[in-house]
Amino acid sequence: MSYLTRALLEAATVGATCGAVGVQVVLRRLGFAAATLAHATFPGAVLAGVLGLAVYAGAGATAAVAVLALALRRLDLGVVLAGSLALGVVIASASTGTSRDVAAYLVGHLLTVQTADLLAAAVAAAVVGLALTLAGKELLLAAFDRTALAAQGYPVRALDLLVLGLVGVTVLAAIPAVGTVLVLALLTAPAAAARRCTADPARLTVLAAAFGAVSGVAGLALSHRYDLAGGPAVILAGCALLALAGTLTSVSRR
Amino acid sequence: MIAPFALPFMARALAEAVLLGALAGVVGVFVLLRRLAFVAEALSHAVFPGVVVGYLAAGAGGVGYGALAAAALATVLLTLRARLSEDTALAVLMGAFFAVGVILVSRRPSYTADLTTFLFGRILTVDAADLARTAVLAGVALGTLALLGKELLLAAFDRPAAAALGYRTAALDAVLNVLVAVVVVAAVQAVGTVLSVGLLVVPAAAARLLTDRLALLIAVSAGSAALAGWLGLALAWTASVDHGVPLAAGGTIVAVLVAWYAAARLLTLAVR
Repeated sequence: MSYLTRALLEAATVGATCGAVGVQVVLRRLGFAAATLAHATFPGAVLAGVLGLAVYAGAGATAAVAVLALALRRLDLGVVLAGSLALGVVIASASTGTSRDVAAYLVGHLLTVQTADLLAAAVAAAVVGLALTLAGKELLLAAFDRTALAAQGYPVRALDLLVLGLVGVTVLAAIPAVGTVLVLALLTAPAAAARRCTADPARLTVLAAAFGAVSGVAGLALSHRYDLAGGPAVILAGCALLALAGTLTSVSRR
Repeated sequence: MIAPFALPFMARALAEAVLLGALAGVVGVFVLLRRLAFVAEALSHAVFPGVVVGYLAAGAGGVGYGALAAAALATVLLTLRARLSEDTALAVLMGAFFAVGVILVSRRPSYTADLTTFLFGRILTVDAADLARTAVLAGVALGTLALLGKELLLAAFDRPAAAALGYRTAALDAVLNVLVAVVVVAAVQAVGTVLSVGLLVVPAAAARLLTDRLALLIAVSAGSAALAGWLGLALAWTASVDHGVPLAAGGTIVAVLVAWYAAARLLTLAVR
């Protein structure tokens, strides 16, 4: 498989996963929580790199801790976020020669993703797809009307934890493609664009996933054509899509 | 803990850290009370392209002005956010601005070294001009708070009451957003774009765990942040020089603040 094929598959898979999970992020206004989870992967990834362990194991461990901290609501989000960053920076600085790796964690390295990264993205997509297929209706209802869902006897807190877990898995899989900072825009822009185009909750997630995949592929094409950094090009494609959807829908409603 | 600061560059770093800590500690109380932590986080990433353009155009001296321009643009775009929720608008804005910054910096041959410097700051190389700029920004921010602090607090605790009294709450919101941007801009060179949010969020959150009284809240927040600046620098110096472990100064300062927050949290959990 050529590096470009790998990058294409990675961008499309990660884009679609971010788009689908992004519907939950946008509807539940979880942007700050998602930012915190994304930054929480950073110290784990750095530590794993220093110790020579699998990056996903380290990043996954610190993200899992953050998911629990968020779910328990005992800590300020901003402190978890800033603390994760500081911890990652301190660990990275203590071990010399990791500045290239640190940059890659923060902004991704789409053009040099490995087969293992693709596999991780595919697993995350499968997990997210399965969860959204099985519990999608309940998750959407919880996002729109928590009280109604609780009144029908659904475990609302467990669903909250599920959403945070899905965001965590998605962020983890997206690190090689777009990094921990940029992933936030991929988690919101395609979903917000889909929200503009349809009011039908059943179509929303599918459309957002499609928009995410389109952002990934278009971004990669831009990156290839104009020699831009891969991850940022994907993010800008997603934001352009949102701007386009916003403009077109406001024109057509007039 | 005092000896390292006899060196001129360490003395300048200390002055910058204490000044920034006190400034961010005070503004951070308002960030906490108005729940603007995500705004602070988004702005800290959104200034990044401005930092890069400023640096490319005018060297290290241009960084502050570039950051200021980017913060202004981001603040304007945020108020024009159409029908997006504030949360989503911040996430999109932060990603888009940061992506532009990365694309610009990735054109440079020393890409990764530049990127990490922009992100994590270089407090050990601040010069007298940087210090003067920080002092001016601190003066502007603290002066504004001295004039408008009471109104900003009223709007934080009881928005309808502030509106009923004839205050323009939207204008007060804008003032506070600009103040946050000023702190982020002041902090960018010293602790970098990603750690500036730590100075704005952590000391105020720790102080809030310990007291409900506003005057005390501001004093504890500003005092602990300034103290953490000194302690962090001294720790980073000791680790690097005496033990051969090079610790990033900016990261160490924020790590000290987080340890202080953790201690305060444990204390409150134990007391209850």
